[in-house]
Amino acid sequence: MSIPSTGVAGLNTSQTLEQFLISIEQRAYRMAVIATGNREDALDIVQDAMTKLVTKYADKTPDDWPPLFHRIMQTTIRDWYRRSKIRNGLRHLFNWQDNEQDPIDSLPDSRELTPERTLDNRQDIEALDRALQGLSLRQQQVFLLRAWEGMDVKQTAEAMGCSQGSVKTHYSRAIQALRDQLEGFSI
Amino acid sequence: MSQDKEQHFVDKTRQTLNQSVDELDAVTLARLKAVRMTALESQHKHSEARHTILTTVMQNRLVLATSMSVILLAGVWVIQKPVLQNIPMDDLHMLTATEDLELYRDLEFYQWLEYQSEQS
Repeated sequence: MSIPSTGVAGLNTSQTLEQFLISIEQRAYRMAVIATGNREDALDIVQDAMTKLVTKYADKTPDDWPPLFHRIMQTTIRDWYRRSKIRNGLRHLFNWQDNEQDPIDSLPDSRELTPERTLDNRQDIEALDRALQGLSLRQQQVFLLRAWEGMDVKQTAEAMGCSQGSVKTHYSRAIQALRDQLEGFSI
Repeated sequence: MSQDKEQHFVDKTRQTLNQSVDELDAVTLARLKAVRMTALESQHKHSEARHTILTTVMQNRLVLATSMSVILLAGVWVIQKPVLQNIPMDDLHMLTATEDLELYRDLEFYQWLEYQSEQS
């Protein structure tokens, strides 16, 4: 992944950084939604990752930002995952009820799509989301970084903080599991 | 799975993921923008905080350096000041003795008398 080169020349660091954040924010959000299954948590993760990047690494070169951002994202997602496991454990232990409904769920979608196309797209997207959420966190992260972000094995290993062999194994298993789960869909 | 089939599957998956981004609703996009702006604001706040800390540190260093200089100068002054060891012991005895100072004023006379008696 790289920062769009058009329009970046002549910008100061803040503007270049904003361009970079614009270029990655939607995919980062979707990755976080797939990992957490929750929009609010996903937005929190994206904000945390962006804040860490701009406060700690703004002085790095723009070429350094994508791997750094993904490394921060993956770490933040794993932290969230650990915390949520503890929270779920406590919830189960004390039988807490969480009745809060995400207000975004009740808002209408403002995009103009034909019903048929929307249905096809939605079905594919939801099926893919379910299949991705069925993967282990490591497999999910490796697959998204490799297949969606276009990172190679080395870059993925650096972003994940694991070995290249581990990346290859997780990627191969992720593809196999997704293929099995998505059989019958147009994907 | 063959390489071609795997690549085809990955391409289709990527396409679907890209569609999911294209279909993000306006509310989510607005919230993402707010998230971005908050993050960028934190950069300015962080820079200001760092500047303030650096300024404070520099000021503290200046105060510390000035204090050290004053202490050093005072030390040098104290060291160079005449000390008691330089005072002749006779004078010190005169200053600390409890005898009548008249005796010391006429000391030369008494020394002369002693000398005269030895001569005779």
